[in-house]
Amino acid sequence: MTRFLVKRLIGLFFILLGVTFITFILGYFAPGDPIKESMGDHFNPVLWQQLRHSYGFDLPWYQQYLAFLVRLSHFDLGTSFHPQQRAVWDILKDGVPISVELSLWGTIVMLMMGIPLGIITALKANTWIDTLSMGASLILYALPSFILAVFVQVLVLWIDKSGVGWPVSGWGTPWSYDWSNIQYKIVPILTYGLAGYAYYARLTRTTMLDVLRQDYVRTARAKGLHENIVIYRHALRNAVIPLITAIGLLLGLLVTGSFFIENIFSIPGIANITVAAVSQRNYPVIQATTIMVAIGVVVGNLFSDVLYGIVDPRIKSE
Amino acid sequence: MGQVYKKKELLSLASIFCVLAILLSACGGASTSNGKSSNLAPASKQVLREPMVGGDFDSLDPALTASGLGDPYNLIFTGLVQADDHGIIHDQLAASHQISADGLTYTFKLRPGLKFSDGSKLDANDVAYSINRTIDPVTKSQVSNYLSLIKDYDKASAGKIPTLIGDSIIVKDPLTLEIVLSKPAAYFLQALNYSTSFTVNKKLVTEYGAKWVDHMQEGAGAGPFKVKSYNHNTGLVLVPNPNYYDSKPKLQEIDEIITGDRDSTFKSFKAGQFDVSPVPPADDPASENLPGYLESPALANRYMSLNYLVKPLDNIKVRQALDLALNKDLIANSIIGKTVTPSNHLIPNGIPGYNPNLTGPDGVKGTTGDQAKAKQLFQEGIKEEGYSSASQLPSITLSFSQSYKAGADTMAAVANEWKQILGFNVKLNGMQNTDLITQEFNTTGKNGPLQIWYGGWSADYLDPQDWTTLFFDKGASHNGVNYGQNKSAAAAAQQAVQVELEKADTTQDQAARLKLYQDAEQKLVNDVPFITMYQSSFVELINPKLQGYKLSSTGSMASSDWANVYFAQ
Amino acid sequence: MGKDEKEFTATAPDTSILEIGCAPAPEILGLDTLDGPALAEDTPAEIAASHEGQGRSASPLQQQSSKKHPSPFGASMQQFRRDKRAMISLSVLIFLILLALFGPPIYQHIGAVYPSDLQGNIGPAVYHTYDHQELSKSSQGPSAQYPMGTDTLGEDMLARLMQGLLISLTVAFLVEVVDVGLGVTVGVLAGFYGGWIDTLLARFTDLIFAFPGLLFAILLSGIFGPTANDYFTRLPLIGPFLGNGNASLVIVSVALALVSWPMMARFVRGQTLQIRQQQFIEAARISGTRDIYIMYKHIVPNLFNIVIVTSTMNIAGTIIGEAGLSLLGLGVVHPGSSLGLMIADGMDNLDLHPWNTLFPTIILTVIVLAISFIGDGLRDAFDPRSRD
Repeated sequence: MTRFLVKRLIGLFFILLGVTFITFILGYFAPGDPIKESMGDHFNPVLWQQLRHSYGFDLPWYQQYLAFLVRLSHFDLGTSFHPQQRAVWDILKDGVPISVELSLWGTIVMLMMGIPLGIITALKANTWIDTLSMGASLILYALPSFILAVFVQVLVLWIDKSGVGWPVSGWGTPWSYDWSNIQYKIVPILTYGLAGYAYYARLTRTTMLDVLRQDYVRTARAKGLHENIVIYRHALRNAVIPLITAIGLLLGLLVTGSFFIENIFSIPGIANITVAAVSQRNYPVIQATTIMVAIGVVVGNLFSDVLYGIVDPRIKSE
Repeated sequence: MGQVYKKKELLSLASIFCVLAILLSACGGASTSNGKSSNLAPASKQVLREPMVGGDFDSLDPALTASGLGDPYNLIFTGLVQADDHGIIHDQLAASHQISADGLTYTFKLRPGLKFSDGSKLDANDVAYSINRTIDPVTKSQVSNYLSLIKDYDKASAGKIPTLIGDSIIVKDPLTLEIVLSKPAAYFLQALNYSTSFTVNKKLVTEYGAKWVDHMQEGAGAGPFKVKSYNHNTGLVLVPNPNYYDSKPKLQEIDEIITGDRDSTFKSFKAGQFDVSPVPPADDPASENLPGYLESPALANRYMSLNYLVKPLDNIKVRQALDLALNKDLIANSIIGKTVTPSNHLIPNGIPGYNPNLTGPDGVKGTTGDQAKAKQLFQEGIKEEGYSSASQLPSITLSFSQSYKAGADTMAAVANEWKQILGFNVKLNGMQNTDLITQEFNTTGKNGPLQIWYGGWSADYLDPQDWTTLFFDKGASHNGVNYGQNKSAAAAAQQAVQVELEKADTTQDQAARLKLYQDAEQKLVNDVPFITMYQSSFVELINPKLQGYKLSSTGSMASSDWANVYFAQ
Repeated sequence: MGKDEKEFTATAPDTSILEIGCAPAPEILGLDTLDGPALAEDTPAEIAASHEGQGRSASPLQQQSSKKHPSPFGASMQQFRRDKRAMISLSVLIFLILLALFGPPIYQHIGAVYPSDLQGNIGPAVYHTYDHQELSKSSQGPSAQYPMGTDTLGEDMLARLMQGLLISLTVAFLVEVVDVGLGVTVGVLAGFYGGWIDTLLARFTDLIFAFPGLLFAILLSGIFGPTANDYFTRLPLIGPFLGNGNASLVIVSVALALVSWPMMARFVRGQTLQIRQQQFIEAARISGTRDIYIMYKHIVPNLFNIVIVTSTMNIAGTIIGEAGLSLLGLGVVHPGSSLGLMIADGMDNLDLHPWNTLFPTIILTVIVLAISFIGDGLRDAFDPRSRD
């Protein structure tokens, strides 16, 4: 186990090196720079040259990249260009909790909708309940989340014509749940769940159907066990294994998964920060968020490995 | 908030200081009626929720921000002088000011007993510190050249001399400040209206460094409001400053809430999240009859520039044909809506010297163009240039900023009309706005990289010079179209116009001066260096209960006007 | 080398495809079985393992399919043809492809002469083109002249829809060409020779999985997109096709392809490893056949199943990815058209002119569903476990 973890960490190191290098090189060879971008209307060639020099943008690329790596090894992510001179750490500290909160609740909603629906449709396979709910799921499945989010937003506005004042943008205070905060959060979270539940409904249905055909389920039934016990103690337990793998990988998606939801509901999470940073050529922030995401994916995968090992002991014993 | 989206909407290529004199005139503006204060809503309801469109502030530091006109900067901070909503300069921290006979030395007498919002004393030393701080290269300000008129600015901003205090910014005594300029310039006081000269609390800056913007609640400035809290996710909360020298505002709180783009802001306004919102063009027809609809022309034009060093654009008939082929009314109304004014003008309505009798190219009146004449001129023009038909013409590129969708759509429509009417095919090239601005500087004196490009301009000052000499004079860095200095047949006539403009710049008699500008403008319009599409506008929807809120053509509300804003019952 | 390491990467296929798909999880159909043990073998950890000289066991899928050798393809196709849902989807997809290719010329013959503002009387050959503007008819609902209405520039929505369909399918096709080309080449080489190619591939796939596809695509098209138009339209031969705002399509395709091919390469590598160990390859080698010939004659033909299944699943993600990038303003620009751009354009006034968004959304949903069902069908047909 230790050897395995060490190997993973070494792998992570190389991944981070590669990720930072790709973003750096993209930025270096791209036209435009953050100073020009943030000067915008006030562009002035003389002042621009002065500022470029003071930020070290006139150095050769390898020197700039080395300087970046040295700073990174001290856990210094630099300062942002928009907002000007704000520490990138502070920006991450603001954005990450929001994205994590959205994805976490969104995932919970997703699973709460998807798994029961999958079980029901598997048990009622090929009845009208199955056809109807799977049909609806399929459409949500194929509908990109950004379209769904806009539809939901317009729908809320339309329902709210009388003027209750239900917010359609923003996030309120992260991790606090008084009524006004819930108002902000509930629509994006439900949208997140709605956009994703179909995958889990289908997954659960398929595995459930598989398991129900297995010999041991037949045996259990033949033994005269109560149907509920057969389903919940024997079938579901085994059906859940591939599901857990899928849930584990969601950890890696916590950051990127909510991309368009954040964008459309103007939620100041990490995804929105990244999109803004790309258009502003705000490289310190882009670097930081890509590193974050890379770590998220690797750790998420690691977590799902461990989880898988716990749920399915056969794998360990091999 | 205001400034940010307004700037974005206009995409102006704002110049800084090229004006010789500031002339002032009243210009139109919209505001809600100034109701009597008897129907004032209770204090608990006096909370204004403004959207901060497009995300977090670029910086709350007045020395750094690129949106330093208007709120929140003129609410939190104060400068020596301030402009009212017509652009007229009044003393603010200064009780009076004097200008020496040679126009080089400005002496400001400060009001006695000034205090920052935390109650600590504010005197001439603080003002001097703040101005010098902006110029100091350590501050890394991108807008310090608002102060470039101050003597030795170049040396100080390049770090060659450590400070200007004692050199050109002199504290005579705690209530007297003297500023020495490198050349006489009547617009210096206008420059001081920008946030780069606003007075900041030295104590906070030295204690927290770049992070001081996160500690502004500890007494950052001396404006009518003070920061109660600032959160980069949710926004800024302002409350009245008890130590403000002037009358106290009626509003008890201003929330500047960070939000998404304009469309999303408008949706949120509809959901009751804001009291003020810009109206997206698509929503304008449905909004214009609602209570709380405000509209004001903006001192801003949108136009295409034609590079005189590019064939066949060097031919006057071709240029006139390109202008006259366009039905500007149809294009602007279909794409932007009825809020903008299709125009042939270089000097927009609201700037002194605006000429209501101006005609379009070749004497054509109105803004619907003259398509038959355009076809004829175009055929004649390309024959003169030695092309037998439009298909023989070299490839011409029309560049524009891709991030501004209405602009991109406008260019698609323009290209389409040229193709349909003249058979003239342009290559559309959407690019980054900053690349466009940089390339515009690079095009001056050259036949590229830009050939035809779409841009905009918004007023720095209320003077026609800002709309004529700045772009068309010999040696002007903004002369990307290469007016005057080119090989076309009309070059001599163009140079005569340049001389006329230079004469207008220095003419003392105002009436004669405006006449010269108007004459030059008509000649310019006839020569078509720019094809003006329309004059922009500001359109907002506000909570109908909000009183005293103004939408002015200068784009921002003066800090003195904020005292009259309140919610009615 | 514990089994947990294999299972780590079992999740990887899902991750990357989903990210290209720009959404949490929902967009990609038919991945359900990918998380089973069948394909889980082809993992970076595994690559490293085999590189270190440790043995590997063939996956059930591969073992069984090899047993059916030499003619599993015909049987699979027969199975596929029996899949009703897949066959309906296939015909819908073929219809949409035909519509994109031949719809515009036919459509341009339908309609009466119309007195336009600028050009006098024009026929459908003019006003039924995707970039013809009739400004006085902007933002109209469906009518006889414009069956799907017009956008803000007065352009025919149906013509734009067909053009957008063509662009979206072209992007999907281009991405798949690169995906399959690179993926098969690198995958076969890595699987056949092992060594540094194999190690490099393993490292690279790790990197790509950690670097989210959508973010990469956003970076690439956000940074290079605006200059793409200027650059690509100057190229000889293909330049003229890339005018009219279609140039960033190249960037988008490249971005989407770059993040998708390592996945293909990994699957191909696994399959190649499997085939390489078979006796007929051994025999060919002993008899002195050149490596290139073995790869070309014996290995590549046997990769058909895995390539077709993987790429079908990738296409749906690509189409949604392209739409998402256009939505963020990074994809095709006006007057070019793509489904994503049309949706994005329409969203500004969803409440006023809902049809502008509705039609492209329906088409996008139908394509994604159809391709996903075809992918499902192919997977079932080529996966022996589903055959009774």
